[in-house]
Amino acid sequence: MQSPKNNSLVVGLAFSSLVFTTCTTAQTTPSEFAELSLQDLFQLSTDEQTESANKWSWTLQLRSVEYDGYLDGSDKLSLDEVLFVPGSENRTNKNFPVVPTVITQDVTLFGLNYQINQEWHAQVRIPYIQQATDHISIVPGYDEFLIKSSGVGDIVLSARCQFSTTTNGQWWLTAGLSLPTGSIDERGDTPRAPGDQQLPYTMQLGSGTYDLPVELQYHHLGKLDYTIALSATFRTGQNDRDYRLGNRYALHAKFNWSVSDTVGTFWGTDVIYSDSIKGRDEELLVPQTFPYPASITNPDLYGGSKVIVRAGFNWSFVEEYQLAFEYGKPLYQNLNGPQPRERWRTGLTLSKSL
Amino acid sequence: MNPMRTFISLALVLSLMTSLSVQAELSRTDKLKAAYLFNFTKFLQWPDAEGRFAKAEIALCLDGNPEFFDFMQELVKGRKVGVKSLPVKIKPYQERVTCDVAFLVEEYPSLKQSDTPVLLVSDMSNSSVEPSIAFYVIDHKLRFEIDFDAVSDLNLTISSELLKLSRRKSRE
Repeated sequence: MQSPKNNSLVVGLAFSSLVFTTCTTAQTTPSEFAELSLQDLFQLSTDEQTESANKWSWTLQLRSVEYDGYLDGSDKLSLDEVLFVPGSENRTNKNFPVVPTVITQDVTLFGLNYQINQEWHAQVRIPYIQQATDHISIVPGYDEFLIKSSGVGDIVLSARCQFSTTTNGQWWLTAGLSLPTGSIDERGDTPRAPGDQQLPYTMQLGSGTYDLPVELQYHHLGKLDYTIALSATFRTGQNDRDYRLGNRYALHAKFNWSVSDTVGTFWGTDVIYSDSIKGRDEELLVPQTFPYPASITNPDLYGGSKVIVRAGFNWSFVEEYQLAFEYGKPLYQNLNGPQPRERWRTGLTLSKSL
Repeated sequence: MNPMRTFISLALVLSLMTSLSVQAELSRTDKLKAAYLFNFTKFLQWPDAEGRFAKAEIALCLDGNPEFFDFMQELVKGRKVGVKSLPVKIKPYQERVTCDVAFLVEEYPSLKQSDTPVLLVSDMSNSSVEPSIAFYVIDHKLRFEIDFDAVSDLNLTISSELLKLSRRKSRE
């Protein structure tokens, strides 16, 4: 019988194969034009938009997300309920001597895109992650403390292809490979012991595994402009610290509305489900009956489902340049808790075609 | 480091770098013309002085756009055409260069078909050239017209496959 990690790999690779076998190619290079017969040439359009070949573009994105407060399932918990106070309550699996209060994550993402031809696009994305977590604890000298980590995250290579076009819509398939370039050995001063120790999963910069992000997208054009996409990230294997982050599945819907030739607005919703962490980093444990000093050190207290609504605008302020901003807020969260509760997320994107 | 400051700094650096590296690109219509020209060489045969078909290569001469010249050179590289498997050589259209086919896009005040023994190809819009084959665009498709008489004057043999896809020019 195949293990779950092998199933993820098989599904991811099968999807990637589907991308590469489903997509057709258009002519862009001299060699491809040389292969065309007179009959082929008679069918081809002279429209420039039918050949937007050899186009480079880049995107620079600043994504921020803040977590504040706690949820167990969809029930809100106060910090007092999550913080274990000796003498006034019993220690359980739901309270902890160390409690992260506010977590902020900022990702500056540089993406370089190459449009091979009308159907095929290739992309590399390099994230730079900066994150900080405020804590309270019952440990003397660590009543309140802040831990930060920063660095390059997991670099993602992906291919995207338009495999079907109708009068009103386009179907796209994307498959990629996320490389384990982000550190999983970030250390900081925590109350667990004197000096620097291994930081919890949330403070690490990468997954430590080769992951397979895939997406199937439909973009409806015309009077009603909307996009619907199904995406997933399949994790493979286990990292050097003997754990694997949970797979992530999402359904995205986005409606676009043009205000003018240069300004557009959009609103959308995302339904996201993610698994908990499989395996665990033994260095995060303390040798006690309850081995997890904080909720974020317990691999079972990750994952769950979220519904996020978001809205934003995009503005083509100069030819070839586009600026976009979006704000999202969770409408519903059902988390394997106690787990930090997401409060908001933003995205600021500058893109340019070359 | 402040994330917003990182974002703005990177945005400025990228904008500056990429605005300096924009390159001109050949239009799709030109690429289609290049593919047609290559196809024409497959369906034509040139007689030598004794009336036999004996050439070592087919010389396709071009004027004008250097990007088109480069694209055409890449397109024919390593390819052979016709029953004799002849290579196609791309050459500049200028004096003392022997051409079998010449694709002319520039204006030539005194150039006429009779001035040269080469098969002239041009755009319908180029009024200074009386080409044997002229490109034109209709309904976003590139088509060509053949002046059958001009081609006959050159003693060229044209494949029926080429003729049936062309519009035939009528001489008044």
